Amino acid sequence: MSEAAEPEASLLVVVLDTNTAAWERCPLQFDRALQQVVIFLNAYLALKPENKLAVIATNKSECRYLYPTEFTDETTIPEMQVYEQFRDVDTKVLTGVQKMIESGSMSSDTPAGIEQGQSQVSRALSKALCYINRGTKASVNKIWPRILVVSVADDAPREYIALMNTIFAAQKLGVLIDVCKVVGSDSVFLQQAAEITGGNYLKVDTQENRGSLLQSLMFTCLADHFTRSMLYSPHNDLIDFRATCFCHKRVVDIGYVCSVCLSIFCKMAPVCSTCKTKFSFKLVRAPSAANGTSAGKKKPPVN
Amino acid sequence: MLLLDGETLVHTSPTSCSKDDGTLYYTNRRILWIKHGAQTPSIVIQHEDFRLQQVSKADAKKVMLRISVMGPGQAPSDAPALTYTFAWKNANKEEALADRDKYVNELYKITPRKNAGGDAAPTGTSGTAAPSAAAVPNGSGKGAATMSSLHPEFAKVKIGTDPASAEDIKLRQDVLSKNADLAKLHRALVVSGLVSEEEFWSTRKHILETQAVQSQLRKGDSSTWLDLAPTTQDGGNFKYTITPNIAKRIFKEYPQVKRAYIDNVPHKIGEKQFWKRFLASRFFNRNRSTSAMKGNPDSIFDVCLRDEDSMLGDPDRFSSQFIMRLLDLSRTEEDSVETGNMPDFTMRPGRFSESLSLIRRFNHHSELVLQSAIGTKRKELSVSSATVDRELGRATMLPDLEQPRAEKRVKLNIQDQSRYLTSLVKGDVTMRSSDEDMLQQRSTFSINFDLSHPLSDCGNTQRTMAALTGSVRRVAFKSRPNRIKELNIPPSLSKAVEECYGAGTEMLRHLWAIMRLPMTPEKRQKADKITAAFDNVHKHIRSTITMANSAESKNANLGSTIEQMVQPVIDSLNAGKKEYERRVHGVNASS
Ligand SMILES: [Zn+2]
Ligand SMILES: [Zn+2]
Repeated sequence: MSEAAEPEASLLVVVLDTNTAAWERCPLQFDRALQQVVIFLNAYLALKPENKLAVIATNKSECRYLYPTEFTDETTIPEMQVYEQFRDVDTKVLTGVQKMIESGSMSSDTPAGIEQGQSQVSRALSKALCYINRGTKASVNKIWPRILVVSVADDAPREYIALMNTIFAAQKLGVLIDVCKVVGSDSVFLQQAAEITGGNYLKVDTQENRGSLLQSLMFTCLADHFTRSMLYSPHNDLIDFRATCFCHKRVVDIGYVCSVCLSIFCKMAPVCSTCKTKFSFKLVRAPSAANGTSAGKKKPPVN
Repeated sequence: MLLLDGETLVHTSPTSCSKDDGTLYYTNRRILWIKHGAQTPSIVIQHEDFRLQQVSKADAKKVMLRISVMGPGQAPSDAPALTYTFAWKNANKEEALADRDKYVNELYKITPRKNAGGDAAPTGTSGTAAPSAAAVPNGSGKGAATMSSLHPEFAKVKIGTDPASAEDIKLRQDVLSKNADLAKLHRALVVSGLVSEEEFWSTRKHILETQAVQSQLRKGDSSTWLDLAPTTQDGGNFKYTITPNIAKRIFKEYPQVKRAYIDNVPHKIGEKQFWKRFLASRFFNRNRSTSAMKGNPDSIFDVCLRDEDSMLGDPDRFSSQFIMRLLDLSRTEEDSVETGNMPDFTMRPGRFSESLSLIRRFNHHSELVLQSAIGTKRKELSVSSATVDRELGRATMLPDLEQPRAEKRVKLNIQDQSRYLTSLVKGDVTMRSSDEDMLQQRSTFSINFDLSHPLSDCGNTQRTMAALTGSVRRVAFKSRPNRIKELNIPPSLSKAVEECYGAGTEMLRHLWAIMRLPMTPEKRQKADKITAAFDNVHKHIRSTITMANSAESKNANLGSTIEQMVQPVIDSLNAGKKEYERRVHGVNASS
């Protein structure tokens, strides 16, 4: 990939998590957070007139474009006091979120495997990548794409494969993914997204900081590709790459990995309890498995 | 010295062994060596264990005797595991030699002969055939010193029932002599007795294996084109130097010169004359462009010239039957006939007659190089026509054009998908609020979408910025390339820190290796020994810190910097020890 140059524009797609159940747990009120996000968006647009923006909102059951207008039927009344583009973005985002919450509270159809506190981040990311792909191809001048995920929901295990696929696609397209986790525990999936694509993962402690989301966004996520090459970005020093075993959900330092399905176990077993692959123990023989169980014999799963 | 019952002293001589001075005793039952001032012998060899003796050459600087003996528990057929080298202190070489010969003769009597399979054969007193003791591994004077410093370590190879063979020891010696860092670690751990020789190498088998492979690789012939370049002397004359090695290569490259040499030297002309004429001949100068340098007609070498032309130019030199069809350029003619392509005109042999002989010689040279590399395998190439056809088929088949064959696949059958996927999420799942809670919360969820008012409160900016800049500072510090340099650590200190890490890591490695397996009394003993040896590392760490505190450096906080640097070792050692003690106590409680 070539180096970014100073006058080149950016294309930012913001994935805004509007999961109300998750926002409820957040010490920072949703409307105040939203206000700060909108200020950040305006700051981004003000940075360079050529900068492009898209906003996608997601919750547990759906994801939609809030901005730009070509995907929505919103029209805004021009207001003299406000810079036209700001006004446009602000209104679209706010009304869009409002509509989404209203429709979300009425419908309760959630896709299987997605719980209340989880959002469809992978869907939103796929949408963002499609938009970026089209945007970069349509643009005459070089445009540098990146994604910002403002996340509040927990990781949805169902989404893992889809999410990893989008992450790798983003990596291939050269799209940075910045992640700003506002509430709850660290998102393992999104940590990987930032790590793999070269973006920043930021956990904003809204409790401790009494809801200062804006500073973090400005500090970490505003800089474009070109500027980032000269900056040190705040980094989570301790990303936990350790695995948990499938059988007990314990974090393990040394585990046994099934060579077929990559399940991780804390103890050696002759048969993988996930995919039922029988292992040959001719070469490796753990001391615990050495008594009695012969290779190739079927054994009930561990749990 | 204490003699055993029925033991009588035969010879005594002042000698040195492993740089220590002492006395060598030969009795009718044992060979003993006692260090000066010591009460008990440091080397005791029973006659039954004696296997082989080697002596330094009569003209060597030192008078030495090397004795190879069987290690404990070793089978008589194995190669001897232990060797001791004694050097005579007597400054009078004649006397020393005579004195040594007394031992040699005695040892000759007790040398085992039944299984004299070559390696255990006794060597004569003159020692001409035996490798001289002074010329052991590293050679060049340093040899004796390295040998004596290495040998006491190998004398410790006594653990278990499977002592290292002579080849293993040789390998280890080679590895240590090549790898200074490893040798340092070896000295720090094995020589000081913290880790046994076997244990030390047990985690480094791959190094030994690599060394074993490397030591067996033989260097092939040089493939460079023999280019005799003259050196220009004062007065514009050229000087060629023909060493025996170069002569050998000339003979190899030009068999006809070899033949001429055999025919003429030395009965017709002298060797010097032969080479002189060779260098002046038309044969040697045949490819020079300037006509003045074409060389003189010469009765001997003009024949060579004819020979070469006729040999290399002979079309029957290769029987065309055995040319691999893939390499046979004349085969391409068939393409043009059937497909209507233009015939290939680039490949016409002998089109440039002036460079023809050079091209032929290059080809001949390539042939020689290939032959030396392939060696005997060449014969296998031209076997039956069936195999030739098969090879040809394999080489000309394009896999892309073949019908794709369905691969045999096994479906990945994941039994419980949700378990598979949820395991990827860390953290306590039960912590999450239930759906009912959520529904309840939603009823109270209200948003004020009127954002026309300015952002009144933006949280604790001071605190946020402090956290962010702190994080950036840490990242910046980590990614600064020469931050180690900025710490201004004196080399001696950084070496000491390295040693702390090396020793700590090694011992922890062995401790954890022992703990991984069920505990046995022997293992426990070993583990106890290792954990006890932790104290040495701690001591080293403490002295390193003391050294840092008193060291002079631009870094005012050197002491605390070093303390921080070695803290991980301390932590790991403590963790290892704690875990070991916990397990031992656990075993005690349950049994
Ligand atoms: Zn488990
Ligand atoms: Zn499996």
